Amino acid sequence: MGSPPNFTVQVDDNSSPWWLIFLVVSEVTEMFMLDQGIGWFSGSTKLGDVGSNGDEGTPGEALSRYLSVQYMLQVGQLASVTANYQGVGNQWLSTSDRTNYLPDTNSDNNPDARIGCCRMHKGHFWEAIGLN
Amino acid sequence: MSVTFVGVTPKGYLKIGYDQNGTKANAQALYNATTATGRNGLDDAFDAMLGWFPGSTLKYLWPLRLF
Repeated sequence: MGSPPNFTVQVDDNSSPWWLIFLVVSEVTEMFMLDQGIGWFSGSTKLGDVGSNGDEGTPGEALSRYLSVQYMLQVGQLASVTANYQGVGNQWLSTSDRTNYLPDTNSDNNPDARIGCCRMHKGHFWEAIGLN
Repeated sequence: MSVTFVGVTPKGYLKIGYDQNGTKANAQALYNATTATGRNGLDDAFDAMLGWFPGSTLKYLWPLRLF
């Protein structure tokens, strides 16, 4: 995401509108994180102030993934996107040591075990404990 | 097909596009499917996102622009 914010999502001619919506929710939630200005983005606090190192990082990527799935659940369309969705929770669960990446605030936003750890943590917070 | 959204800013709007791997007809169909359904399209998604991030001033203009 640059400044001004923009992003490209890759879909094919067989993509469903719900997959497109899923991707939009995933990416635009990150813009909301930036605009909210409470520290989700490294190096930036507001839209229009995206530093060269500014991205959502591990916690933000995990949050956008969590919320996009929550939105699909909310509208009853999760099954429409699961074929395309690259889950990360199992990547972390499949590691031998299940390292705690929660203190990790680096700029990693690739779908990996690091993101998976944070994604699982958000699910535990909001679904098991009921915090938001 | 590449779908590009550009400029979701406090005064911006979204654009939807396509590249050499897609066709304008498919981009148009996707555009129609996500916007012509009124409250069932991206409008609802944006409303949900606004609720998730209190304090954000991010707004959007509608509809999507096909280019």
